[in-house]
Amino acid sequence: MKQIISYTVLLILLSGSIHSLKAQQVTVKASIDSTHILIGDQLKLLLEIEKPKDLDIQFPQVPDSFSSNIEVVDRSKIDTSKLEDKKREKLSQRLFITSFDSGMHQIPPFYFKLKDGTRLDSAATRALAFQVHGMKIDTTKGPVDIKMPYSASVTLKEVTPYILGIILIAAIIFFIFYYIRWKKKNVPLFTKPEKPAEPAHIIALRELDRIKNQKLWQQEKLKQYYSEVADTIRTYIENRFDIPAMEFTSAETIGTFKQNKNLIDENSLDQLQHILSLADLVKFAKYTPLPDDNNLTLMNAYFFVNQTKKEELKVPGKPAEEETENEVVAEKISE
Amino acid sequence: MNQTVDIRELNERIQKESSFVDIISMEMNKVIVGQKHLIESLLVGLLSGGHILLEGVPGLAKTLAIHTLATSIDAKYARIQFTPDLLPADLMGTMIYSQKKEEFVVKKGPIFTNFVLADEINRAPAKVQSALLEAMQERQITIGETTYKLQEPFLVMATQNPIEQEGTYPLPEAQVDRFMLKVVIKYPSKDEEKLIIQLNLLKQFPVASKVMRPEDILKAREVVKDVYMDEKIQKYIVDIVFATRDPKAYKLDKYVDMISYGGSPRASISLAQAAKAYAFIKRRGYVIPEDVRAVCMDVMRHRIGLSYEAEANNITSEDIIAEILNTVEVP
Repeated sequence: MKQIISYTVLLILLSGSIHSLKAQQVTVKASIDSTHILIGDQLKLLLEIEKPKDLDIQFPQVPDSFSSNIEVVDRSKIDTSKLEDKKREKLSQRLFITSFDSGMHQIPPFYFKLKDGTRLDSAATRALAFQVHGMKIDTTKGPVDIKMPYSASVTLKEVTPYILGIILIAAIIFFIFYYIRWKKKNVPLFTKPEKPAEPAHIIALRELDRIKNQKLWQQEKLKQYYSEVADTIRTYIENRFDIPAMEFTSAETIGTFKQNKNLIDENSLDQLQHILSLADLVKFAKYTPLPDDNNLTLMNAYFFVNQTKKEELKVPGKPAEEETENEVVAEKISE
Repeated sequence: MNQTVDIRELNERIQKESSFVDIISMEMNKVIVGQKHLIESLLVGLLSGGHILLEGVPGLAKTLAIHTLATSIDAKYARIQFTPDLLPADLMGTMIYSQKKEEFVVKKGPIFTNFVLADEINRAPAKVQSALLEAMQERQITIGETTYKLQEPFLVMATQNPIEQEGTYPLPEAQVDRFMLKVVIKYPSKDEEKLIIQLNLLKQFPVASKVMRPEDILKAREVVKDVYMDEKIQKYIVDIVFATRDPKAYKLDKYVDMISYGGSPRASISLAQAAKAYAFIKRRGYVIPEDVRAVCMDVMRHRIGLSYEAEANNITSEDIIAEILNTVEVP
């Protein structure tokens, strides 16, 4: 007898808010986020069903208005989410509902259609109710003016297209401006960041080494020899002092150094003058210098570069760079 | 090695032959104050056989300089004032009927001389300009059925002033090209102007002495032809002239729309000849880039056609040449 009573109690409990099918396999639920709203406000109605994955169901077809005074403002798509039990899943849909009539409103049960093989069944949610409150009117103050609609605050969703539009227009203007500038200057539209340039004296010394190793004057290629030595020095001057020596004549280059006496000392100027004037004679006057002059020109070129190079910061404890380099130059020449 | 000796010999020869340059300069400096560039340009034209167009406002001693040069060389000199009613026959000469001989005889015009000063050349109509420029080019004149060679040295120095353009006939580009040099004369400095006043207040204005003969000029011209010009210099000249034709190739893109036409091959020839003459004046037997640069402005300024864009932007041919000289790599 006791057993019959307990089964009866359980059945009564289960037939209340939760309607189950196939003995706890399907659970349907309808819930609202508030039971009291102001007239015209919106409520969120959530329809949920938990079911085995292989069970076919059909969500209730909620019309745009139901119960004569409840309206559906918006509805989401049916969302599927996983459950701990991997054989089961949960489907849900959000509905935004409202009512423009004050008073108590009933949300009727929603029916989920179930299809287990050939067998059709359904599961209903619990009916819900909510209270819609009207505006309180102070009748003691008498008739009042009609209030104009309140302006709603601007949401990000509304503003986003305008922001994107402005960004797009700005980008187009920037590209047009950049393109015109590029057209005018004839420089590449996008350039890779340049590698830090090698110091001018390193390039010049390397070039002088190359000229020395080529043994040009020994092969009687005097014009080439002097042209290359002079061009190396002129390129060095261009890189080191920002004097356009490649576009200057020898006299103009010397003149520039004479005008700016702080650039190089007297000794270096003499060496430069010797290199350039001798090179000019060989290049333009078919002058044949003595072999000693050929050596001296190269030596002068080495010394000129070393004496006028831009000093780098010396690391404490390191031997003086200039001394060691001068020794190297002396060795190179003696070779 | 032999070539080296040649250059040495040439250098020595030039040292000897070019000594007159200092003497002429000295004589001219007696009369003309300052205007070193003008005197040098006149000598360059004289030694390279190129005609000169002088441009400057009135009163800058253009005529006086040419007259002094002619005087110091003891050459025949004629000054022709170009006017709107001048006829080619007034310049070249014509056939006139001799009643005594009962035949037409040739009456040679003032152009049959060594130095012609065509004063204010742009005041004469195109047919007169054209006749003169033809004579400049051909160095001969045909009157009737006979062709007469003009005596050497034959040098035309024309003047024009950049103001008072009303009622003038500007020289067409093709004809301006026949002048080897177009020299623009600037105002003297304060000190020079003071000296000019002092010179003009003297009881007797100084006169240049005759220090040379026309034959000496012809001899000097032969030496100028021997001045050595290396291939590197020739390439430099070609680069400069090509930069006026194709500025883009020389990273002078900004002048692409500014130049309507560049220097002709005659420009290259003139630049080379003028550079040689300049090297001679500097008493050198070989040309260096400085020589090219020194004469480049005078040789090139009238050989570059400017577009409307250039004129609208106030870009002159001098600006373009200066930029070219600063851009083209010196050998």
